[in-house]
Amino acid sequence: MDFIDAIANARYELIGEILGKSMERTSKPKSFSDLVDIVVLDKYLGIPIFLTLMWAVFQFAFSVSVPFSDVIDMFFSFAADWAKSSISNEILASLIGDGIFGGLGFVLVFLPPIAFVFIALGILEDTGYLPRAAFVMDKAMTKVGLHGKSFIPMLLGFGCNVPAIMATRTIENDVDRKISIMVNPLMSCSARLPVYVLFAGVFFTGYEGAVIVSMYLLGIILAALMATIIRKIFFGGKPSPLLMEMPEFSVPSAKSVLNGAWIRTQIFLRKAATILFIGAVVIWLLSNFPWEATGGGEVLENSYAASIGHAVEPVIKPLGLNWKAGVALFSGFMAKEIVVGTFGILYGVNEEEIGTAILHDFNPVSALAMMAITLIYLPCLATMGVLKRELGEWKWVELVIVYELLLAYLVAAMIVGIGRLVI
Amino acid sequence: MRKVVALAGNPNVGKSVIFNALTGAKQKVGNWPGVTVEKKEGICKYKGIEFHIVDLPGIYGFTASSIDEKIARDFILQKPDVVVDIVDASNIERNLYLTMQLVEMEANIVVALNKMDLAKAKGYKINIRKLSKELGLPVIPMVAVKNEGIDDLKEAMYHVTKHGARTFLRYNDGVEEMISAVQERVIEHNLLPNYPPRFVAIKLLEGDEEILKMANFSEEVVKQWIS
Amino acid sequence: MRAYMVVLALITLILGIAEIACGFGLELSLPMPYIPSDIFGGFALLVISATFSKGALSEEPRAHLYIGSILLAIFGLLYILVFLANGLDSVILGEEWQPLGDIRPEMFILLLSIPGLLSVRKKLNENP
Repeated sequence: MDFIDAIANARYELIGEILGKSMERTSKPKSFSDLVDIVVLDKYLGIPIFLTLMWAVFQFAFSVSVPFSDVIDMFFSFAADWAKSSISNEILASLIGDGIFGGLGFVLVFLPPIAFVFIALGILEDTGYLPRAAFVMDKAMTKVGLHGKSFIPMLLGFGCNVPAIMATRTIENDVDRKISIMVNPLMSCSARLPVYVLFAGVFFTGYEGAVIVSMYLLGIILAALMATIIRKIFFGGKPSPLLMEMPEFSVPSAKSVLNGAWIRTQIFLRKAATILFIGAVVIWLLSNFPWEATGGGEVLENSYAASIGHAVEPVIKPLGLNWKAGVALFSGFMAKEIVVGTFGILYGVNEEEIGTAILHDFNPVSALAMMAITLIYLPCLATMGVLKRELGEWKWVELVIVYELLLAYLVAAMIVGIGRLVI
Repeated sequence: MRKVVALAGNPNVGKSVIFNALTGAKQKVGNWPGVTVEKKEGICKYKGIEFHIVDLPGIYGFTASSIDEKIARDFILQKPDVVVDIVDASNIERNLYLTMQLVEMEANIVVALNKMDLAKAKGYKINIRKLSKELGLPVIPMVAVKNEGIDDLKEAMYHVTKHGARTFLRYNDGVEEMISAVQERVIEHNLLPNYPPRFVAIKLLEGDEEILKMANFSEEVVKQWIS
Repeated sequence: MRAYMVVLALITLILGIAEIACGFGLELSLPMPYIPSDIFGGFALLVISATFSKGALSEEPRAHLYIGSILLAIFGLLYILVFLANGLDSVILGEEWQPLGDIRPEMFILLLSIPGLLSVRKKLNENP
């Protein structure tokens, strides 16, 4: 051996001996983040902890927001009654009272839960937990053909699918990205929540929380299923590996959390002021006209809305749903938030009575079917717009529409089928 | 009384900080003779002795090919009273490599073990007493940026000027055999008598151009000596 | 620390099972008041229990103490908020309210999370 190498080795050899006798290497003292990660990223505890935190988020959002929703509810009820009693022109009174105040009221009642969800997610985000959740879910997600980075868009989908789908831009691989986008609508957005709250509240009193969470879980399971299927049929291959930076854990700052929640809530409010406003008016039009035939909205069966509902009815009758549900679902195409409001207008009732009203036409099984269909059947207009923009070609958008309609029918049919066996 | 102290060590071990801590305002900056490399000198008075501190360039070895290394090597071979070898405790293996070479040059060495705080943060637990015993040299733990250990360093410098601090570190048998063989010839031919024979032997074996030239032997000859 | 964690693990385990059992409709004649029927809530308690028990047996009990205590505190706080929201709601709606009906154990064992939370604070302040 070359002497230069020999002596270099000899020197290091001696250094090793010397240090071996005089130095101890303990592992670097762990930081708070390191310690937290030991538990939060644990093979067995990781996912349960994640699910537990998600449960806390939803409990917070739905239970603590109730008083605020009730305040909004009462306000719009008063406003609607005031309008109807103070405005002389009958049509105008109905438009402003039932159409605008009534419709908007139904929608804005859900502003508090949505805001609370954003607050809770904001807290999780600010602590630095979300990348850990993505990491923990990555293995599970990869198994069903989803890329680890699609975790955040999926999570956002629980708020609204429009920004959620746009958030998929962080996924580099085109195939991974497309698949994430195409299953995102199955993540139950906040607009569908009113439907669950209504039906779960009426038909599963005392267990609303569990039923609603089950809807969310159903969405997740179906998303996983469809991701696997779509990947198998159209693309093949596996999701690319996840490389993500994990920030240090920190105490969340109230300011940034509230700020973030406010910004996201504003998006919802803006939607309420525009599309939902228009939607409420459209539905009001369809259900109150022709005016004489319906006697100013009293006789619903004669309205344009009813005609549409009846046209759809044959398809949904086997699922235990009638034409009113058909109209409501049709309105949901424009914006899911309108579905409940549409029921209100169709039954000619306000918020307090809607519960009793639907008791006539639904039962627990058809209620579940209704919820499932709402979860699955179609992306709303705004989402479709984003789908086209992010997927590029129409063929993918059409695929989404077709698979969602079929899946919705299939799942609802299964629910009805199982319901018949059990009851 | 005037004593010369050389500050040696790898780049970025905190030499400047220690230099400033020892010399304070009494610094002088110039050039090493014949080259454009900066030379920093200063005075440190302690217990009646005027320590003349010379800051050597940061280096990893003592080959003749690099100007910085040559400057450092020449200065140390002129036998300053003390060589303060500044070792970064958080990078201790790499830094001790230079120490090994200083020992080969048979200098009077004080090991200033700096950045002890970083070493601790990395989880290193260094037993100073044992290290000192294994090296055969005084070891002064320091955190120069926090001014910790400076006084102990001064005390060590003082002690070494009075009593010296030379050690002998033995490598493995294979290497030591080769060194012995060449060392015998160095002594026999009285090559470079101003330099420690062991150092000359190692440099000849490494094929150091300067030493070979000064000794007036070629590499092949040296190779023959060890066969 | 480990002993404390074992105790917490047992308490949350028992409460968790109780809440799940109630959730399935089983009537329990246990010397424990205020057990709500809540399957998911019970599950949450079981997860907390698992965290503490694994921690008590693992090499790094501190970490598990932090997380377990944080989770305990989250749920304790959460149910207190729900309690207050229900109270506020009945005022708004002008309805009667049975405050005792909304009380649940997590509100009390919230206190047990305090030692863990103090540890967390200490650890957070320690680092540069």
